[in-house]
Formats: sequence, structure tokens, C-alpha cells
Amino acid sequence: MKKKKNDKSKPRLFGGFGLPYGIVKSSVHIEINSNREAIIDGSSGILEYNECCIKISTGKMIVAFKGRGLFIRCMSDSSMVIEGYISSVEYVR
Amino acid sequence: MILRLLRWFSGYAKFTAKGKFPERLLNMTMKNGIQLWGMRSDSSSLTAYVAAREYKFLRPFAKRCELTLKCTKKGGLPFIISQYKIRSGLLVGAILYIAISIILSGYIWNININTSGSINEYELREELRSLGLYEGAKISDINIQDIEQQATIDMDNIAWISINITGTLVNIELSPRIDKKAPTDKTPSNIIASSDGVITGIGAGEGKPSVKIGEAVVKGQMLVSGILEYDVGGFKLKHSDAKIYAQTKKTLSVSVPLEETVLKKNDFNTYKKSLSLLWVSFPISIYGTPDGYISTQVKNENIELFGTQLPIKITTENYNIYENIKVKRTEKQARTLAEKQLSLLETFSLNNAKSYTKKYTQKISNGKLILTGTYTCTEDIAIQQEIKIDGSITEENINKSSEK
Repeated sequence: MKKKKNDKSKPRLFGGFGLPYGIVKSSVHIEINSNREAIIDGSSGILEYNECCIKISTGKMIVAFKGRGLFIRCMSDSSMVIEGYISSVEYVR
Repeated sequence: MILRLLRWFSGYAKFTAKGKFPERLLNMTMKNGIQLWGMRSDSSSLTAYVAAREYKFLRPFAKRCELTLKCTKKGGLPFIISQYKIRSGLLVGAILYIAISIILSGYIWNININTSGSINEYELREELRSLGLYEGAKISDINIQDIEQQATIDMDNIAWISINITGTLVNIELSPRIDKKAPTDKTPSNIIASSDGVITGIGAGEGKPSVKIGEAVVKGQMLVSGILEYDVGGFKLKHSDAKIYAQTKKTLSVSVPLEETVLKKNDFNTYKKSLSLLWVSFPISIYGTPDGYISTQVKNENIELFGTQLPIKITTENYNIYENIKVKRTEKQARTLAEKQLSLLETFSLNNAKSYTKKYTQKISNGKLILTGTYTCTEDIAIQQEIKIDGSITEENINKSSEK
């Protein structure tokens, strides 16, 4: 009988040393300045784009920025900058 | 700011993508390394900016996403250049202008001299030209300190000179040398007569007079002695100084030919203009230098632009042409001319005389009218003569002393 992999081992390992989870394993990094600007590193695609909602795919997760007057100021293959009046950030899945 | 500038230099295009899922276009461009910016989205379309050279790569992506792509605006330097491609002369002119400005800014355009008036500006300019400072000279070749030093040495009448180069303009400030008054000569001397005459007056001064009023004296005769003898014996040498007035006779004469060939100014005048740029000069008028006897007046006119003197000047040479004309004079005409000439001669020759009376005599000889003036003058005939310790008195002393 094979032992199931303990999915909770890695967070415990990193948490034990006091290191943040995403420091080694690549994951999305979001910096939000007030409610006007969001810098996203680790994005993989845009799922929805309009003035009220921008949904970004980040591999295992989808991040939805909701507000008004939202637009993507600039983007590259793995990062982008969203500007506008952000009213909420939702993590889907 | 820098990013905006770089995007402008490389050129950009604004496009609109219309369709169901414009997000797909964004993902495709992202995956293929095409950078977009300024994205705006509304219900059915997406507007964004892309680099001009990458716009053509959007079309296949738009086709795959079933979007209609339309370029709404083009901007940046490449589009401006292509717009003015047919007007290449503008660019050539602009480049030439910049090149000429850079080249010309390395040379002197103008030299302003602020002088009090006692120093001859023309002489100064010639001296500076010989030292390497002139309009058209290369600024990098000029050593200001050397020029200032050498100019002060070469020109005795300059006390100090300051040369300032501001851009292409040279400003020169200078101060004339003020000679100190020569100290009074205290050399022991006698006073002797500069010419024959009859003494009419003796002015008080140093020394012992050895003549009296009314006495006739000859040239070189001692009038005031600088050797003072004491009653108790011994003597003292003094510097004699006095004014001795005597009545003297002088003769001046002029001759005027009754027939001669003179140069007379023609009514016809001509001129020649030339344009100079620094050291290059070329003519701009059709007239050349006339032949024959001419007198020339040269006028230089600098061209100014918004108060700045440019290194461009127009030189106008006005020529007065003279021709040989035979002149015949009557005796009366010759006499009038002779009197004028004699009057001028009197001004220079008799300037030392306190007063004089004159008498003219005229004679005609060998086709010339000779006018002779005989003058009886009252003048100061005293001149200094140094008393040498070894007792020798020479002609050299008399001639030296006559310059008072």
C-alpha cells in the first residue's frame, strides 16, 4: 500500500523556517499600490478584460480584479500592470 | 518619460480589435513577445498601442482569434521622416546649417576695441593681426596672455590691455600710457642766441644776463651766463633759464608756375563692392578697379542679425578718378595762389614769433612767379647750452638745447 503524499508537508517545511511559501516554488506575486495599481508577476494569460473586471490566469489560480475604469497599462509574457479603481481582488479556485 | 521618447523614436501604431474574444489576442501577443501598452477595452472592442515594426505580426493572430484589426493612428519619428522624404533638401539644409554653425563657431567673428581715443585703432588692429588676433582667426590657436604681453611691449602708448573672448566675439579693453612730466632739467647751462637779432626784451629768470636791450647779437652769442662769481671769490654753476626777445629778420619764398600739368578730379566716379566671410572675399559688383590715377575710399559694413554682428561684411571701395589737365595761369592768378601758399608757410615757420611785420616782393623767372616774403619778427631767441665740466662746448649741445 503506497503511502499518500502528504500535500501539507511542503508548507510546513517552509513555514517551519519562517520562509514564505512562494519563495522557491514559482507562484503569482501581486503588488497592490493603494487601490489604483496592481503589478502582477507570474501571470499566464487574460481570461476576461473589460473596464469593470479583469480576470488573470496564474497557472493554478485565477485572480479577478473588480472595480471601475480598469485597464492593463502594459504587459509581457509573465507580468502585467493593471490600473484603475480596484474595488476587490478575488482568488477563484 | 524615457520610455515614451524611445517609443516615439521607434514609431508606434494604435489599433482597434473588434470581435467576440479580444482577450485571446492579448494572450497570443503576450506569448509571442509582442509588447502592447495603453490598452482600453469596451463591450466589443479592444484598443491598444504596439510598436510600428510589430504591427504586421498582429494580423495572423487577429485572424486566428476571428477579430477585425484596424489601425487607427500612426505616430513617431519614422512616419515623420517618410512624410518629408521627398523634401530631402530640408534635411540636407538642416545638416549643413548645423555643420556650418559648428565650424564657424570656432573662429573669431568680430573684434570690438574700447579705446579712449588716444590710441590709434587702426595701428592696434594691425599689431594684433601680426600677433595672430584678427577676424577669421581660429579661437583655439589664440593665446590671450601672450598677445596681451607682446602688445604692451610693442606699443609704447599702451599701459595695459585686456582681451576677452566671449563665444566668437572679442572685446578689448585698454588704457593708454600717461607719460610723467619730465623733471626740470637742472644741468648747469648758459643761454645763447638761436639767430642774429637786436635785443628788445629780457625776461626774468635764472642766470646772469650778459647783453642789454638794444644790443645787436649774432647766432651762438652768449646771452645769459650760468657761471655766477661771488665777490669773496669762487663761483657757482647754475641752470640758466630766461626769455630773451629780439628783433630778427626772416625770409620765406614760394614759386608758382604759370603753366603746369595738374591732376584734376573727374566727375565720373565708380565703386566696387565685395562680400567677405571671415577670411574669404568675393566681388558682388560688376565694376572692377579703374585704371589711371585714382583715390580710394574704403567703407566696411558689418551685417547684424538681432543685434549680433555676423562674420559677414560688405566692403565698398569708392574710386575718384583723376586726369592730367594743363593749367595756364595769369600773373594775378599765380600771385593769389602764391600768397595762399606763403601764408600757410608763415603759419608753420613763424609760429614762435610773438609778432611780425611782412613785406612781399614778386618776380617772374623761367615761367614761374616767385613770391618772397621778408619778415621782421619779435621772438624769443634764447636756447640752452650745457656747461661741460671739462669746458668743451660743441655744436651738438646747441642743436640739442634748441628743442625746448
